[in-house]
Amino acid sequence: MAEIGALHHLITRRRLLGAAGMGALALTNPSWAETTIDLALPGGPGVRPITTGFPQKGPMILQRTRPPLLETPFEVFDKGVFTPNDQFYVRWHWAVIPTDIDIGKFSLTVRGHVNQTLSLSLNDILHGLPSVQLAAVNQCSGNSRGFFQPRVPGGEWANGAMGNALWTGVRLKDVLDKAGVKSGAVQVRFKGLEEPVVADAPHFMKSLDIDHARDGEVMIAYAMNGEQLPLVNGFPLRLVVPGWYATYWVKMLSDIEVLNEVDTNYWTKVAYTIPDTPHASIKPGETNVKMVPINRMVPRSFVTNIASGHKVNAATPTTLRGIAFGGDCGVAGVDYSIDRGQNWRQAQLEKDEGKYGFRRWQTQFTLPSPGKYTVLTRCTNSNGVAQPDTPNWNPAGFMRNVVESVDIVAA
Amino acid sequence: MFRNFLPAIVLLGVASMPFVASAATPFELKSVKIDLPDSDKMFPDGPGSLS
Repeated sequence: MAEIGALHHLITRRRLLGAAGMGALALTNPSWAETTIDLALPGGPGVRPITTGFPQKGPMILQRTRPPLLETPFEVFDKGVFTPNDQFYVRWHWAVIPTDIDIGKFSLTVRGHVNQTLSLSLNDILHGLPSVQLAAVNQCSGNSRGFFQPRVPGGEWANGAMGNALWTGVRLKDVLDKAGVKSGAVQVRFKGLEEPVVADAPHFMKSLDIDHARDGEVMIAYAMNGEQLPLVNGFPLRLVVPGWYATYWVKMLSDIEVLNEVDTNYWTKVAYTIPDTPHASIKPGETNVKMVPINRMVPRSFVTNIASGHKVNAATPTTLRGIAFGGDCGVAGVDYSIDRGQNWRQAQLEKDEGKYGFRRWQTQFTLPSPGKYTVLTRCTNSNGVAQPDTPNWNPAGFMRNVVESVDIVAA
Repeated sequence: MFRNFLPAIVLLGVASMPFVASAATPFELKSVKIDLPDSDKMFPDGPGSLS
């Protein structure tokens, strides 16, 4: 039986050298990259280094060095419902990131359309406000972009630009109340410590509507999975916006500005926008489409214990296991199919750690006779939204959530 | 018989319970200083490269 832990086309350096030529690899891998992985991206090339060269991080798929784009190796998701901090994916927009944070000097400013400008120390935040905890998935808007066909530009992620953590922090609402939001406030804008590499480039900033910012769920986290955040995951403070894509989860949060007008900064108005269409999908080349800021996540599910290409024994029960999340709400159910979607069966859901987190699921299935099979998984969330049968497409490669498939062979 | 001992059992249990709330250590942060790896390799190689 091929129930395995190491997944997704991990190949050794030796095999890659045989396939690609030693000279090419020696030139393209940084010296601190140790092995490689083939992400099997349809547009190729899919080979990436695995690196342990980033402090506070374990083995990660190196998508880019500066600013860091580090992808979680997929087999990590089979190990537990929470993604370990040292293998939680990393995504920055600008290359200038502080690498020396003194907690005694760090402060969070709250300003703008408020009664009182605040400069909060970490001590003020950790010990002066009620602490809250929440399990939530943090997923890059472009997670799985590398599977878009036709291919689109951007970080060519496989499925590992996501993670689930237990976040500890304070409610954004409590911080805003401490400053006193004035009547007429429209949005709240968040900025972190990363800096553009050139003077005229726009600082990375994201905004939420004032009611969303004050809903009591949006939080400022100082811990993930019971520990302080790794620096490259946003230490010391990170905005947590449950159910929304990670672009809003501003890292190294240092500035909160209450606005009395709609934010028009580049990162809200231009970047991170999606077609205002079902599934944020258009036809390649389609123009004159209304675009809106990306927002709520959509449901997804994955098999985590069996990878495409693996063999199982026919006429023998096989364990199928995975993770799902509902997006902006909980998971109502996960179904699987062993006959390319003609028939669907329910998998068993495991413990609910919170509606915004991963939900583990498992089942047993038996392939009746030797041959090739495709296993499909489909999550339906508690709002009744299910993963679509066909992939969406948009020019930024956002919000992929098609039903996932795993090709296996019964012998 | 068991009922006679119940209050004592309950008292003993309560007395031996850890004081979770008061004993909990407040969360503290520690300053961080790291060196990020450097490389001139900004992006993966494009289509058509050998890797």
